[in-house]
Order: sequence, then C-alpha cells, then structure tokens
Amino acid sequence: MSSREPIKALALLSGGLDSSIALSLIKSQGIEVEAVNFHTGFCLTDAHRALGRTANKNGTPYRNEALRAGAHEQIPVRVVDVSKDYLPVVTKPRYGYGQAMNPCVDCRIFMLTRARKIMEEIGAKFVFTGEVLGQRPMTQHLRAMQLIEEQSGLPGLILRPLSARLLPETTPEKMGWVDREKLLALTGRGRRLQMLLAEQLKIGEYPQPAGGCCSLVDPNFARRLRDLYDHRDPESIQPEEYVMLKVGRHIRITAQVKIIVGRNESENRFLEMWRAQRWILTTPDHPGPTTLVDGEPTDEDLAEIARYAARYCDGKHAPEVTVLARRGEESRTLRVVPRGEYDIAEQML
Amino acid sequence: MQNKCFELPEKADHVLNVEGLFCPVPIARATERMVSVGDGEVLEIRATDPGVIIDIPAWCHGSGLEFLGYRREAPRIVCYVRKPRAGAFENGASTRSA
Ligand code: SF4
Repeated sequence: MSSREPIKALALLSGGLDSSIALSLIKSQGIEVEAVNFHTGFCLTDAHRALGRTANKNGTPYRNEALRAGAHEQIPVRVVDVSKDYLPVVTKPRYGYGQAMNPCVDCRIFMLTRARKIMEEIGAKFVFTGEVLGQRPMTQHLRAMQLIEEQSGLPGLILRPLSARLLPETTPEKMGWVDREKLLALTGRGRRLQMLLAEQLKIGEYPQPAGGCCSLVDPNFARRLRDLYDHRDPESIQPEEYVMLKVGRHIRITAQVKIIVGRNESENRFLEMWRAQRWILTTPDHPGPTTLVDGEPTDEDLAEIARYAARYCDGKHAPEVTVLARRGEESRTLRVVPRGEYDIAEQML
Repeated sequence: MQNKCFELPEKADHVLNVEGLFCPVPIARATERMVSVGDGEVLEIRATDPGVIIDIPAWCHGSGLEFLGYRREAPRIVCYVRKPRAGAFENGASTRSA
C-alpha cells in the first residue's frame, strides 16, 4: 500500500459524530481526503446565529461542525451553497417526504450527484459518508442505498465506513484502496459504540447531543414552509425568509399577508433587521413584541395587524392601544382595540 | 476600530462583503472568492455573523490558508485571510496532501 500513488477520496461531511468517525477511519488508511459540505438553506445553525444564540453559557457562538471536523483532521472542507438548485428537491420530490417535509431520498441523490462532479473535478476515486445501516428509515437501508447510488451515478463508489462490513463490497475495497477489515459493521440508531470509538480515535469535540441540523424534519417548520409555498411562488422566496420561518409566532392574515410576532428580545432584534423593506409594528406605550409583516398589506390589513400587535403587548386588556407601524422612512400611528385571545388559534402556523 | 487581535494588514488585495448572511453562507462565498485570489494575496471578509470568528480560522486551518486575524467594527467583524505563496488553493479547496 505504501508505494502506490496516493488515493484521494471525497467526504460528505456534516461534522456530526458519524461523519467525523468516517473521516478519521478513511484518513487513517493513508487516503488523501477532501470534504464537501452542502448548504441547502434548511440548516438550523443560520437561525441560531441570526438570533445571536450561543452554544454555551460562555457566549460561544454555534460553530460550523463540518469546518470544526475538517480543521481537526487538517483536511480542506469545501462549503457549497446549493440552496437555489435545491429548491425543486423540496417542492417536488420524486421519492416523497419523510415524517415532515424532508425529501431524504431525493436529497441524498441531489447531494451525491453534486459530490460526484466534485469528485471528478479534484481527481478523487470515491465518495464516503457517515451513514449507518438502519439508522434512518428512509435512506439508510440497503435498497434505498442502492437506489441512491444508481441515481447519483456512483454505483460501487460510495463507501460507508461505519457499516461497510455489513454492505456489499464497494470498488475502493475491491481495488484494495481501502482495507475492508479496518472498516466497521455498525447498525441501528444507538450512539454508544460511536461514542466509545470517538474517544479511541480522538476525533475531538463532536456535537452533543445528536439531533441533526435539518429543519425539514421539524413538523412545525414543515407546516410553515408548506403555508409559504401554498401562498407564494417558491422561486420568489428570499434566503432570509427561510430563516424567518424558524423565528417567532406566525399568523396568516390573508392569502397575501402573514405576520411574525417576536417571542423574546433576540427574536425582536432579528425582526427589526428587516424594517427597510417590510412593515414593523410596535406598541410604544406598552412593553411588547415586534411584529413583522410579510407581504403587501392594504390599509385595512394593517389596521387588523395592529390589533394583533396590541394583543401580544402588555396592554392587551386595555380598551385601546397605540400601535406604531414603520417601513423604511414611512410611519403610521394607529389606535386599535386589541384582538381577543380566542380567535387567533386557527390562524397560527 | 477595536479589538485588534493580531498584526493586521494595512490594506487587503480583495474585499468580500457578506454582511447580513449567516453560517455557512459567508464561508461558501469566501471559498468561491478565494479562487480568484492570487498567491500571497490577502482577502478581507466583512461579516456580521458573530460565528465567523470561529468558522474562518477553522476553514483556514483545514484548507492551508493563513488566518491573519480579525477586528471588530460593530456590528461588523472584519477578518483577514492570506492565500499562501505556494499556491495551495485550487478550485476553492486546498490540494495540500493530508
Ligand atoms: S434530513 Fe434533511 S439534509 Fe438529511 S437527508 Fe433528509 S432532507 Fe436531506
């Protein structure tokens, strides 16, 4: 193995526990590794960052785990923004959705097809991932894995080091580029063995707990996303609007107009950031949230929205509340009766 | 101009503005831009995502780029990255052997 030309491989790297172990296993076999991390627009970290949330009490921001893992193993990580091309994967998945709005089979095919192109470009011989047989119902069983391999144009060229010994031999194993005996035979959803391995392999500070980074598996996010696609041309949706789906209370007012009401200081601050292009409502006489208007409201809509803003402020039991509506240089003051609690529930997204 | 962390360059050869964008988009844009940065040249990255002070050094460390430091110009964070002279960076990723 030592006299051969160095073999290069491309890792599909999220930086979670499993893909970090896969990276360590392959790199320790003398393979030269580069990694790719795809930004689909549905990762959770952007919302944490946008809201100024921190990963711990010391105020450390949420880190990008793929970059962390790449730095730990000293391999280059190419972060690729695929959010535009990814849209049809979410809106029209050929193989359907999982438990929420996660088109996992189509998503894997999309990512691995992109990975194949990068693999060819950099002269890598194969792709590897941190997938574990039986860990995820939609994509991590043998038939789905085979389908994904075929559809992405990588038959025999996707190595899954954590479960390799339970799977048919791949080209890298047959060719002797990778020693199959040094790969693993893990299966199922448990993490205990991986945690022990992480210690042995010294893979550094992997994220705790596991739980993934994809908003599409979250039923609340999925409900809001469906509503957005039902009322807007998906092509017209701006990247920040996907972040907004993870923030505040969402209430649909009309087919054209929706509002987002902040639930705490950091959400209010985040919503304020968009006041140049969108109406923002506040209640100057009472402590209360920021309400952001998504869409172009009529005067009537704006008066109605002001009643919601009043409903969520400390003056909600007052007979009338003053609401300030601002957009860019424009500003209006409205006196409204706060909306009652009972009739909001069914408009909540 | 506060928090001058390291010896920062007076002037960068390239400037990338990623203000208002959040993880991992600043890194994706920086990776794209790095392709047109020449060997030994410095890229200045202007961001508002507070996490860039963790992500950019990690990105540099893995990719064989030189992280020169950052300074805060609230609400902005300005980071400096140099592409090494050896020309280790191609197509947005280093070709350095692991
Ligand atoms: S969980 Fe999200 S990122 Fe992962 S395969 Fe499914 S859709 Fe893709």
